[in-house]
This record gives sequence, structure tokens and C-alpha cells, in this order.
Amino acid sequence: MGLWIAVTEASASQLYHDASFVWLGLPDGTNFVMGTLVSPLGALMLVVVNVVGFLVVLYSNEYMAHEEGLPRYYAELMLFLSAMNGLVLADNYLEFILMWELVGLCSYLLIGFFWKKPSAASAAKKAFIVTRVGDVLFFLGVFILFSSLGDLSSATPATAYAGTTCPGGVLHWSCLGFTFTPPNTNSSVPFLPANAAIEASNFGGSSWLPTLAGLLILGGAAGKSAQFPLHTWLPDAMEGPTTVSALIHAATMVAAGIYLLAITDIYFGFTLTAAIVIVGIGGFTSLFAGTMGIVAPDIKRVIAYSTISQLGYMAMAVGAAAVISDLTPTYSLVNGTPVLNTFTGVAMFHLFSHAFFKALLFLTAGAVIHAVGTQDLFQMGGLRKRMPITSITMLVGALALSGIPPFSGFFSKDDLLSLTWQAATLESTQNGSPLLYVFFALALMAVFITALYIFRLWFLAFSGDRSRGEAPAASHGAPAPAAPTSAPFASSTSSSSSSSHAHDAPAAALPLASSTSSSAPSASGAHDGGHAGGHDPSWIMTVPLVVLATLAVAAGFLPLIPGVGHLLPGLSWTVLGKCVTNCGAGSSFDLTDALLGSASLAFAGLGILTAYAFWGNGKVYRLPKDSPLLGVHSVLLHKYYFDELYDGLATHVILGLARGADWVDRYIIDGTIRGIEELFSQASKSGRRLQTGIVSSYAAWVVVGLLAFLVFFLYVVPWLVGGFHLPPTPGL
Amino acid sequence: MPWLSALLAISLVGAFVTFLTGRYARWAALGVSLATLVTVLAIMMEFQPSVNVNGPGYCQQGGFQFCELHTWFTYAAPGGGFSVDYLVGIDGISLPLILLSAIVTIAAVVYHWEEKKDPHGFFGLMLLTNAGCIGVFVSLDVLLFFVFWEIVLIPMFFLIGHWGGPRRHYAALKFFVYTHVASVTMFVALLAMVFLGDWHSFDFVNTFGRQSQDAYLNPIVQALLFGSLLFGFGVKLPMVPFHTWLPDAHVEAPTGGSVLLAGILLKLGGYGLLRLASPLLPTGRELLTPVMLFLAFASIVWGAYLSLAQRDLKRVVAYSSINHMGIVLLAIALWTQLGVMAAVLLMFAHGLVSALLFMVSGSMHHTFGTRDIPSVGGLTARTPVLSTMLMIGSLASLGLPALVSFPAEFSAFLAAWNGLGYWVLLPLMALVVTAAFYLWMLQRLAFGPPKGIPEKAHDLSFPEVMGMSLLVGLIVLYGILPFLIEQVIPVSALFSVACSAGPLHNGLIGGACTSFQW
Repeated sequence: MGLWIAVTEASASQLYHDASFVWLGLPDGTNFVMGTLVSPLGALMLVVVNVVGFLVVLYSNEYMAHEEGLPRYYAELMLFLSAMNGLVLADNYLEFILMWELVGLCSYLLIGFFWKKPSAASAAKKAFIVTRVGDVLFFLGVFILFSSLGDLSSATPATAYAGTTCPGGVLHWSCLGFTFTPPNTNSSVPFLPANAAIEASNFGGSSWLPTLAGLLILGGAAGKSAQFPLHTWLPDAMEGPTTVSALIHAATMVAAGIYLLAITDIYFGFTLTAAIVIVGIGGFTSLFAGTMGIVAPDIKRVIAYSTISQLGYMAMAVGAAAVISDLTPTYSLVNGTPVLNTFTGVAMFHLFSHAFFKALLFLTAGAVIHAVGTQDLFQMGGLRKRMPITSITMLVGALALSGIPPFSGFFSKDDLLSLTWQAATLESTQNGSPLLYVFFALALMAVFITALYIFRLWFLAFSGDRSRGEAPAASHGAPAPAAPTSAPFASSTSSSSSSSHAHDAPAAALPLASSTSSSAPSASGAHDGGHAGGHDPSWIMTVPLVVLATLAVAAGFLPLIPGVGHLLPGLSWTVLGKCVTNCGAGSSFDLTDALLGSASLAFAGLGILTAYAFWGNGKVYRLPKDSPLLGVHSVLLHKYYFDELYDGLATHVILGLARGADWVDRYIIDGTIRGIEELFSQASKSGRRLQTGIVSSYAAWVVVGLLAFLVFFLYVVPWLVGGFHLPPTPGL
Repeated sequence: MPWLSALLAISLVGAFVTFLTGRYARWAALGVSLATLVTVLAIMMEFQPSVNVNGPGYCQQGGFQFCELHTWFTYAAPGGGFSVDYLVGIDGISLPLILLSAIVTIAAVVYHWEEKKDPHGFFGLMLLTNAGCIGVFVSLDVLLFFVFWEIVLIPMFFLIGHWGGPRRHYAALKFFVYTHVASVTMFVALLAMVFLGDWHSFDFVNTFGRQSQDAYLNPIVQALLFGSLLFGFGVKLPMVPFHTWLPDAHVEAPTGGSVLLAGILLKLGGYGLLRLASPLLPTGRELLTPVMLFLAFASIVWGAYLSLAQRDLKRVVAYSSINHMGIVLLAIALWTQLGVMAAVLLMFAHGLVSALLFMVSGSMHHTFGTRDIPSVGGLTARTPVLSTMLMIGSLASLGLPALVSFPAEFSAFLAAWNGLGYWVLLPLMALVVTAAFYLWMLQRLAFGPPKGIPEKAHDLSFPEVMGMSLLVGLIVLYGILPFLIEQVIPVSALFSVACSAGPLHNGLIGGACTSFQW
């Protein structure tokens, strides 16, 4: 199994760079190569992809058993896994882009797996187009890097690239920073982060060009990792089977964007401005997405928002790592060469732990959906007794997500917050800008929100003794009618108008409670579930849950495993970790870290308690009718109206423009052509009148024509040619 | 062995033989197109990716191979006179397009295996079109080039006019008049180039490298001639605003006609710009580069936006062709090695992909009686094979990696970035629109609950599947291993570019070509 190879290779603490082959070549030596590279980050990703992938495939055996089109499902899943493996093994941006797009394709196909459902087809299209916007930015960023760094002569590159000898001595991508391979991979040294590529000297002295390149690459990552403002596709992507949501839209594919940011930081680096923007986008997204999770009525969408939010954390951590590298670069000597230290391992650590608990959350949610046949949280409740394994494993996932020790999320999230704090401190002491503190505050608030929404979900589904799980299980395949699911609980009247998704069930918008019109799939969501009654699934589905729950605990202790430290460059295991391991210099117990850890713990605890206060009895909480929060609730439920905005943009502006252009094309451009045609046919009709049959008049025209010819060739042409030699024209 | 003459003979004689074969026409057509393909493959085997331009032989100095020179007739006149030659030869720019012609033709023949209406005429005309295209691609003499160029027009006129849809007569006439006006303009410009440039022969190999010398045509004349050629070839390409014949012609043309039209005929325009206009009139090219770039941008954006607004599947594909050929024009206008390579590669890719998409459109019309996108839906449920082909074609056309367009588009945009900087954002953003219209089309046609599908709708027939599968296989093959076709291009691309760098911005003038060596 590929996983095993990955683990073995990774544990050897070396880079493996296989001989690559030329994919497209130009005779001036510019080659577009394809090769494989196992880097530490890549190895970590391999573990994530293949472990989660394997468990999801196992789980699918039962979960998807009664669906049509299983060969297609498994084929697409396998294509996805191989594309993802290719992505993390790529050794240059072109290959990365190739795999990146293939991953996007698989996502498109899998979101649209239930293609008969219009909402699924629409969600698939949306995912592809939104990520495509990011891809275009990404392409441009790569072009900038290529044309600036790819054209370097061997003399100019900054330290990390100096003295590189390229195979063949030509402009080879793999030599000139256009590869993830640090130049000295052949010497079997440990991982070498390099950050010198973005120096202005490499960009013709321009300091904003590398910034721009970084921001454009961020654009690509934002598309794939659903960061603000390209986040809108991910909640809709829950139209795919839950297994797909677990694998692709939580654990692995969306992580590709973070991985892109991390490797870009390692091999090229981000300028300070770009790094701060990354922190800002990440910090803001973490809070922004979390707030939408509080009101979402659909169990999968809550988890989807949490994915966006957690990805925001990771992006923030990469940004913070880049800020630190930019402000206080530190070097370690490797084989006598000073090499820049990087801290992206912190983000990768969160990616690693998040992959397991997020897959766990999705798969448990899948088990619930499978059991009760609905995705609507307000129809669930009291499942704890009937689904003990599911409820406990999901609790583990929820605790890990909230960041409660000893679950993995605590260590990684705490580490990440600590890194951001460090970056913020550096920025404010060195540049006097408190901006990063603001983003840090947003992220800290998001800790509270995270705990709040995930425990709202857990309490609503499992707590209490209601047996709402007996909801009328929607039949397979056919989209369930937009049943007024809120009817049993309807009390409020502020019926918000139906959203752009044309879901016009007259559902009353029940603040913080009801399933409302904004999420179309909540009504038809029971597509891939179906055993009414609600009980734990069989071992095929349970084993993955238990394994993932174990991993959700164990992943936090990853840095303790001897020999894997190099997989997570720059990770200093804070607070508890330090106490336990006391590993290395500079990791002594630190008051700031302790305070930060306590603060985030306190926020998480507060979140859980708040959730308990509102939903602890498993009942649906309703805002009073006159509550001022109603407006806020409506905004959240409508996802800050971003869908409406983009839909409006697409249908009215872009499509409108297209229709207008079509009109111009038909009536102005083609109309002109038809006009000319008309002119000629009229002219020929009048020309017919010249055919008088009178020889002398013909002769007159002949003379006129000849004269015109002579004037043209004897005067006009020589004038045009401007004194140049006029060739002897035959016949004249 | 006169390979190219053999190739021309097989395709031309084969086409005429097919006219006479009556009900065995399809077998004759298959045999002829197979023989053509085999000959092309044999030529590819013999082809040297990099050639010593200082080698023996007159034509090798132009970087061509497989040259054959026979004087057709000469005209002696005081002060010079001229000769007209049968001069053929190929290089890395023409070879991929010749291969493309052979492939697309055989796919079209197989696809139309069950053609009922006058099959001998239908197949014969298709083969004649192919022969004409191959003739254009191998000619190295202006007159020979023009003869083949005109040969292409006539069979296509009849294909549209006799086998086409309800408005076929209008469309055929529009196609013919439009492209003929363009040909005449082109012909006059070519003649003017030959006579004013004092060539004394019509072969343009001999002219490579000479045109940069000071005593060549004056800049204004060059610009005028280049402008005329740009119009002549641009109509064929087609570029905005001379594109409106294309949607009409496609909508009315029979499927095979559309396939050849999009697959090969559009490439003639690009090839003409690459082979004749740009290298032979370097100063004119440089003066008009802004115009070319503007028209390229216009075609890219206009084509993409208009695709979004279309309801007829064929019109969607037709406008997307305008978009893609706009990228080709952009890559040519850059006139860098990477640009030329990208242009050739993109023409090759677009030939395969648009041929596939037009086959799908044809089958859709055949199966459902309509190509109107909003009135049909959920094809996947009833006609899964057709739906799959539609999907592969769309994804290939929007530039998905591992399919043939991706390396081509990537090279083109990289070349554009190197040459133009941030302007590349404009065509890049059009990529989003391209993705949007294809995916929107897929969403409406392929997915969702079945809608508007007649009871007795059947999936693709075996010949249709075979024709499409050939294209799909190559789309995937050349997408994963693009160097299989790409490796022949760069040397010729570099040679063309280096030999025709105008005096305005490149130091390579005068004898740069003659001392050119690999």
C-alpha cells in the first residue's frame, strides 16, 4: 500500500527526488519537467490522504451500498486519491497544477454524484467555477515566479540558490527555483527550507512583484481551501455523498490549498505584506465561517462551516510563520550552509490533526444521517441511547475540534494561536502595527464560536430523550418533497423570503432553530441515508469511526514520536506539550504560552457551556419574536448574502452582458455584413441597367477602366512603394 | 522516396476514386483515409525533430524536410521574370497539422459510416477537403499554396449546401462569399508581396532570412500587405469581427462538415499567419502587432461571452472555437518561440477537441431532434455514452489537465505573460467564463432529471462511438504525453522566429538565418 511506502520514506528523514522526465521541452533549454519528490510535508500529507482515504473507502462499503452507480463512485474516489497523491509528490508547480486540477475535477464529479438532483448538479458547477477563479490567479502567480526566477542566470540567485549546477547546464526548472526541490537534494541532507527566492533582486528590483506573486498564489489556495471570499462553494458541496464530504471537503482536498501555501512559503517565501494578508484572510475566515455554523440547520453544513473556519486557522498559521520568517529570520547550519528556519509545520500540524477529527465528524454525521434519514438537525434528538458508539465517537471529534485537551485539536490549535501571537508581537514591536493582534483576536473569538456550534450540533442530535429521529425517511433517489419540516416547531412568523435557490416552502424562519428556506438541501438532504429507526451501523462503518476517534486523540501526540519532528518544521509543542516532553532549547515553560493556552481553553469551555445552556436538553431553542437578534440570525442564515451577491453577479451582470453581446453580434456585426451584401445586390441590380447593349457606351466604360488602372499602377503604386524599385510587371 | 507527393497523390486520387465507387463509397473512404494516415505516420517516423539548416539541399536551408522541387513553368521577362514551382516540404509547424487532418478525416469517415444521402459524394468531398488541407500544409510555393487553398473551399461549399440543415443554401453561400472575399484579398496581397519584393519565383523558402535585409519592402507597404493577409487569414481563423460566417456555417453544416470545418479548416488561417504572413513580412508584422493583439483579445473575450449566451449546442461550440482560435492568434502575435509552439499545439488540440464536440452535437441532434440546450436535460439517464462524450469534450475544451488542451493553453498563457505581462489577465479571466459556459451547459444537458427526451431515443451507434473514441483516445494520450507531438515543433518555431525577427526590436537581422545552427 502506498501509505506504507510513504511512511517508510518519510521516516528516513530525507528527501527523495526521483529522476524526472521532460514533459514539454524547448530547444533553448526551458523544460517543463515531471518528477516525483517526497518531502517531509508531502510525506505527512501522504499519511493523511491514504489513511483517511482507506477508512472512507471501507466506510463506503456499507454507507453507499444501496446507491446506483457504485463503479463510478469508486473509480472517481480512486482517481481522486491518486491525483491527491500526485499532488503531494509533485516536484514543480506545473505538475502540481496538473494534479490540482485533477483533484478539482474529481471534486466536481463527486459533488455531482447524485446528478439527477438539480441542486447537486448546480453545486458541482459552482465548486468548479469558484475554484477556477482561484486557479486563474494561481496560474498568474506561477507565471510571475517562472518568468522572474526561471530566467535567472546562475549568478543572480540569492543564497539558497547560489552555486547550483543544473543538469545540462541549461535553464532547467528544477534548478531555478521552479521546483520544490531545494538545490542540494542530491546530497541526502535533511530537509532544507529556503526563503531567499522572493528577494526583490530576483524580480528585477521590484519589491511588489513577489508580493503580488504571493497574493496570487493565495488566491489559488483560497479557492481550493474555501477561504473568504471564495468560500461559497464548500457548503453547497455537501450535496455530494457524506463520504465524499469527509474525504474531499474536509480532510484532504481542501487541505491542498494550505499545502500549497506551506510549500510556497518553504521554497519561495512570502513577502511581509503578502504574509500579513494571509494572516488576515485566515483569521477573518475562521470567525466568519464559524458564525454561519451557529445557525445552519443542516448537520453536514455545520461541519462544512467548521471546515472553512479551521482552514482559516491553518492559512493564518502559514501567514504567521511567513511573518516570523520575514521579520526575524533565523538560520540553522546544514552541511555548512545557512538555511532559513520555517514554521509552517505548525499549520501542517493542525492540518494533520484536523484531517482526522474532521473526517470523524463527517463520518459520524453520515452514520446519523444513515440511521435517521434526514440531515435536518431539528428533526434529530435523543440519539445518544440508540447510537452509543456514534455519539461517543462524535463527542471525541467535537472535543478535538473545540480544542479540549488531551484531544489533538487542542495541541495544534494552541500551537497555532501561539505562533500567531508571536507574529503579532514581532510585527507590533518592529513595525508598530497592531494589525496582527486584531486578527489574533478574531481567531480567538472563533475558538468560542467553534465550541458553540459543534456542541449545538451534538446536543441537538444526541441529547435529550426526544425521538425525533423517527422522521419520515425520505426515499432514495427522488428528491424529497420540500416538506414543511419546521411545522411541528413553527411558532415564529418572521417568514423570511425564500432565498435565491428558489426553495419556496413557506417555512417560517425560526431564529436559531428552524430549518428554513435558505438551505435547499435540508429538505432533500436525506438522499443518502435511509434506515429509519436509528441504531449504530455495522462494523464496516463503526471500525472507521473508532479508528478515527483514536487518531483524533493520538494525532496530538505526533510530535512525540521520535524521528518525525522533521516532518513539522518549526513546530514547538507549546504549553502542555513542553511540560511533557521538555524537548530542546527554547521550549521551556513560558508564561505567555501558558496564558494563551488557558485563554483558548477558557474560550472553548465557555463555548461548550453556552451550547449546553441553550441546547443541552436536546431541544430546539427559539429566539423570542421581538428579539433584536432576529436580524442577525437572518443574515447568518443567508450566509451574509454572498450567494445572492454572486448569483446576482453571474445571472444579471455576466449573463446579461453575454446576452447583450449576442445581440450586438447578431444585429450589429452580422447585420453590417448583411448590409454590405444587400448593398452589393442592389448595386448589381442597378449595374444591370448599364448593360445597355450599346457598344459605344461599353467602349466608354472600357476607357474609363483603363485610365483608372493606369493611374493606379503608374502613380499610386510608386507613391506607396516610395521610390523603391518597381519590378517589371508582366503585361504592363 | 517522394513521400509528400505520395501523400498528396493518395489523398487526391483517393478522393476522386471515392466519387466513383457508388455504394462502396464508405469502404473506399475508409481505405483512402487509412492509407493517408499510414503515410503521415511513416513520414513522422522519418522526420528529424532538429534539422541542420546548413545541410545539403536548397530547401533544408529553410529548415524544411522531405522537399521536392519541380519547376512547373517559367516566365521570362526583361529584367527578371519568374518561375512557378511544384515545391513541397514540411517542418515542425506543418507536421502536427498534417497529422491532425489525417486523424480528423478518418474519425469523420467512421462517424458517418451510415450516411444515407449520396454517400459517394459525401465521402468524396470530405476526402477532397482533407487533400486540399494537406496540400496547403505541404506547399512551399505561393501559387501552389493558393491552388490548394481554393480546392478546400469548394467541397466545403457543397458539403454545407447539399447535406446541410434547413438554411443550408444561405449558410453555404455566406461561407463561400465570405471566405472567398478573404481569399481574393489574400491572393492579391501575396502576389503583391512576390512582385514588389522582387522574388522572381513564388517559393517562399528562399525568402526566409532575406526579408530582414534593408532592401526589402518598405514598412508602409509591408504593413499594408500584412494587413491584407491578416484579413485574409483572419476570416478563416476566424477572428472578431470577421467571424459571423462561422456559427451560421456550423449550424447548417452536416456533422462531418462541421468536424472538418472546425477540426482542420480553421487551422488554415492560423497556419497561413504562421507560415506566410508573419515570417515574410516581419516589419509589417511588428507594425501591426498591436492590431493583432487587440483582435486576439477581442476574439477571446467575445467568443467566451457569446458562448454563454447561446442556446444551440453547435453555436456554443462554434463560439468557443472563436475563443480558442483567439488564443492561437494571441500566441502568433507574440511571435516568440514559445508562442509559436503554443499556437501550433493549440491548433492541434483544438482540432481534436472541437471535432469531438461537433460529433456530439450532431449525435444530439440526430437522437433528440434538437440541439436546443434548455429543452433537453438529464442525458446521462437515457444516453449515458453520449453524455460521457459530451463531458469529456467539454472538460477537454475548458483546458482540464491531462487532456490535450492543457499543455497548449498553459504554454500560450505563459508565452503571453512573458510577452505582455498583466494583459494576460484578460484572456485568463475568459478562461473562467469558458469553464462557466461549459459547466452550465453540462448542468443543463447532462444532469438533472431527464427532460425532453423522446421515447425511442437511442444512445450512440457503434460507428459514432468508434469515431469519437478515436478522438477521445488521442485527446487523453496527447494530454498525458504531450511531448509525443510537441517535440517536433520547437526547432521549427525557433527557426521561424529567429529568421524573421524584424529590425524593430530584435538584433537578429540579415544573415542570422544562414548561420543558424543546432
